[in-house]
Amino acid sequence: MENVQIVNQKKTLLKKEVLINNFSFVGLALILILFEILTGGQLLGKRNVMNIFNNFFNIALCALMYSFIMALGELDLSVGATVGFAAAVAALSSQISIWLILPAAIFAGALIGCLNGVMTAYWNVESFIGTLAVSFIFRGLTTYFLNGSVGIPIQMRVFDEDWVKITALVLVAVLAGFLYNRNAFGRRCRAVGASHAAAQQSGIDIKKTRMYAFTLVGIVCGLVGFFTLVRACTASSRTGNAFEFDVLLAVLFGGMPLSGGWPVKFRAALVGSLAMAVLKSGMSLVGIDGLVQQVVQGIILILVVAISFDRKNAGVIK
Amino acid sequence: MKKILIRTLETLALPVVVYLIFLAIIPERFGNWNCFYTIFLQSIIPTITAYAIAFGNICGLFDFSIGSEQIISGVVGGLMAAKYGVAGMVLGAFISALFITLLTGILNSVFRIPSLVLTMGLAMIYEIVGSKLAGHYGFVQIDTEHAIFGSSPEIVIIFIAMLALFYFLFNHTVFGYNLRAVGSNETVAKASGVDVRAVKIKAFFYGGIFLAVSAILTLCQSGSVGAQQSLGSVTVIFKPLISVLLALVLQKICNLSFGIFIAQFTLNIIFIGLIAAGLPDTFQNVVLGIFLLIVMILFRNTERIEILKSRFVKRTCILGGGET
Amino acid sequence: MNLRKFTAGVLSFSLAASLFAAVPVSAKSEAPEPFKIGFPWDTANTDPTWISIYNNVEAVVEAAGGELINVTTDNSADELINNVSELISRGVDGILLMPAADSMLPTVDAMCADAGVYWGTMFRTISDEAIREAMYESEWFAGGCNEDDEACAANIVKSMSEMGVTDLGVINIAKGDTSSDLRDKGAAQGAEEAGVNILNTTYDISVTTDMTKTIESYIAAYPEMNGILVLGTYCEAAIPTIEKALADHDKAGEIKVGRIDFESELGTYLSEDTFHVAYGGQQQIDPLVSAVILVNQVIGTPLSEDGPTNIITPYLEMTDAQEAEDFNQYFLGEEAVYNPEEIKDTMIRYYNEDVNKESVEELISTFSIADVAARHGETK
Repeated sequence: MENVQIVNQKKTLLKKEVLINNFSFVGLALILILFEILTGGQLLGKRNVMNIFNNFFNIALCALMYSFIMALGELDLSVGATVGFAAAVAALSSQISIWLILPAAIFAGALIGCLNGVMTAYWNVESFIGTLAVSFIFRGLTTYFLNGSVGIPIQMRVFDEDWVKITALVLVAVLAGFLYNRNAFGRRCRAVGASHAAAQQSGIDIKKTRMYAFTLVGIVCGLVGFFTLVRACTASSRTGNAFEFDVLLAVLFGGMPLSGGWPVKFRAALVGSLAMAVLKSGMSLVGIDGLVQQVVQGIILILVVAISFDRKNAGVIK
Repeated sequence: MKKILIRTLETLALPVVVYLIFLAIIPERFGNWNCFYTIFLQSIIPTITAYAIAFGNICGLFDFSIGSEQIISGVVGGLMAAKYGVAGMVLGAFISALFITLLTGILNSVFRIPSLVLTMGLAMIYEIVGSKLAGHYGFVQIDTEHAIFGSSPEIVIIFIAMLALFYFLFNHTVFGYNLRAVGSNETVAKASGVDVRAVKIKAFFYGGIFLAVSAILTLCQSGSVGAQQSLGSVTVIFKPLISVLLALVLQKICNLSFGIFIAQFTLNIIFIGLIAAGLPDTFQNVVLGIFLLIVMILFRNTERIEILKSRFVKRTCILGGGET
Repeated sequence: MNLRKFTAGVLSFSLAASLFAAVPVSAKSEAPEPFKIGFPWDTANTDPTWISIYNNVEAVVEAAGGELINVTTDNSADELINNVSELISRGVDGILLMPAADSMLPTVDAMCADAGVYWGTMFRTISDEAIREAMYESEWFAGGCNEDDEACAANIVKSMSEMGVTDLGVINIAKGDTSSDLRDKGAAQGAEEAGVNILNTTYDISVTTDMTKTIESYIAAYPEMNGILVLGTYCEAAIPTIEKALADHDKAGEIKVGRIDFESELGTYLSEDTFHVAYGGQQQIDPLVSAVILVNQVIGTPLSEDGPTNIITPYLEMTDAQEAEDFNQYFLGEEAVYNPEEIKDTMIRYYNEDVNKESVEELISTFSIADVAARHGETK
């Protein structure tokens, strides 16, 4: 009799765990169903799906690589500034040759990512402070160099085609997924995030791991800068504005813990970005005004994290 | 005595050096008393806001909602000022700030999720509460007769009182000790009997006192408080936050209470210096970022710098010996 | 019998003819085909000016029998492009937007052309010659309404110079914005012509604390400063904040203050003689006329047959407290600066065939605070 009770209790606990582990999926499904009903089928209508994709694309692209930073238990508050700076450098380089746009954007992004990496890995500056300082510097430089806004030839919109973006997203997702789940680098990131001391003892080069993770985010921010540029054909001081909050919200929506380590799931980046895009589109279709949209986002963020947060293994909650 | 003098000189070296740099570049604009006094006055409100941030920051919390809480406090203070005058403004700002910071503290304790996430969500909600309270015009204005704390000498007296209060709370109360204990190692603090939850709630709540004062002073100095949306209130707290971070760097040679002010004073020298030099305001952000980065790098690498220093001294000694 | 039939026929014909004569064919009483106008606008912003902009656009669309579809935006180029894409997916027939920069317009045009959706601009002109030419050749660009930012800025600087201003501290919206750049250009030109020295320009101030700090820094760093000009700002309560900072430094009234774009608190300072010159009033009429241009195009009765319509609104000057009070009541209230009947009768060609670009230009040439107060004061 007691055994049966224990087995039942275990089953209930397991169910609860499965539910919590997959809460982000459940949340996404709930949002989808709710807004599909409220919009009378418009949400997943042919026209709106690509619209959701466009809202999702840039955030997802960055969030995929941001997983490595989250796994390390770090933050990068410079992603918005990096996107803006990369777009600015790319737009300015287009005045020399349009072929320079993509390499210039990626190079600029990689440069900032590398700087963030050196700062946090080799100069021991906390990522939160260091990347905040970097965002101040590069926001200022972007405004200074652009001195207004700079356009690029409209022909560059060919890179804004859906198939180009889908291909890019799939490639980045496959690469990031491979690195995260099937490669030693992803495991190293999570090991460092879980425990510095243990990681160091097991022979992981913490500095290099951090350096690579920040550089990867920088590169992908360069790519986001490129796609932002070819979409609007304009770089301005506001390009990438508040993008750091969008990405952070997306990964948190997906249930990524800030503490880093093994609980950081790669899928959370995709699920969170998608949930944000669907929520935004759904609320807009229903006709909810901007003020209410912000309140709803705030409440959902707290609830999602409150439900999905693993308090047992989190240790100290800061 | 000598030690205190050396430390004071070391602490003051930062603003003095920055000031001298600008004085050398633009002596005609920077060498007047009015300029210096303006820098001092401008440092007061951000310093008090930074005190509010410091409580949470020291015990490891990060509060994204402080900017939006300050707006609510200012807006309620402004609305109450219209009905009940100065007393209404003070009461309104204090009651709303203490209520909302206490609420944030309790929610932080109840939800047990990272404070960064919670306060980010709350900031999104509080911003809209502030907007709704501000009403049709999106901002609340007070009569000049009620704005009695915004100018000198009142603002200076309040600043001294707040500095003393922060110094007392941080250095001479059980809460202050516990706060630092939680900040340095929460697990150890818990094991040694510190009620971590209560300390964190108090950190939010005591922060509310300084928040209310900074909201009142902002209201009195600017004459109005405006609502913010789309996390605009978060970016507002980055600059006071930077002074807290710099003060933590200066902590080895200077008490945190004074360190925050010194850091804020230095940042304002840069701000006015760049304006006086006629440079575009975009440079403010660049210089601010570089300044923060340099200070953090120096602070985080003191050991390495010491090694480099000793190597350099050794080398010059050898070279000097070789020459003779 | 034949005579009766003939008489009946003649009478019927006369009756029908008289009916047709009394009601012109073009002056339809029924609404046109249902249509939707997309409008990216920040509805989270509680600034009354921003709300009034939305109200004026909505008034035009609804008066003409259409539906306004809003998507929230931060008005940056990237976000606006996403907004256009979203609105197209929601099946709108026309899109009205405030462009963040000229260089984004070819993209908007290409997207709208692909979807067969008309689009129009408000507040912003197209400064880039090549882009302007390309847009005015586009089949899908309806046109837009804007004020002459450059001339406005030049004139306000000259006006301040006449008041004795020689050294000016300037505040402006973020660089890269078409209006910001044009106003900068105009101010520089005005300053050169009037011999005014522009000491410094600070951009993109969004909160009152930063505004106070900037003004105090100007006072501290530039003792010679005798004028402050706000070329534009999104900071709420900008003028009250500036006035407070000046008063705290005993400079209120001594330093002349000017502003482009009206705001709600100008009356008090005008009466106290601590605020000196304001040019603006276009924040309500510009979006209204821009919406008129687009709606007429979407309905199929464009204001001008020769391609996109561009109307330039004259800027108004606010001179006294009474005008400021009227501005708050009639411009920042719930109602648009022209009511639905006025819009239908005088601005929508579908309802009145005499309406065209010239008639609208003539109509708005008499637009002023007093004009709106007179029209809407009577109806209340």
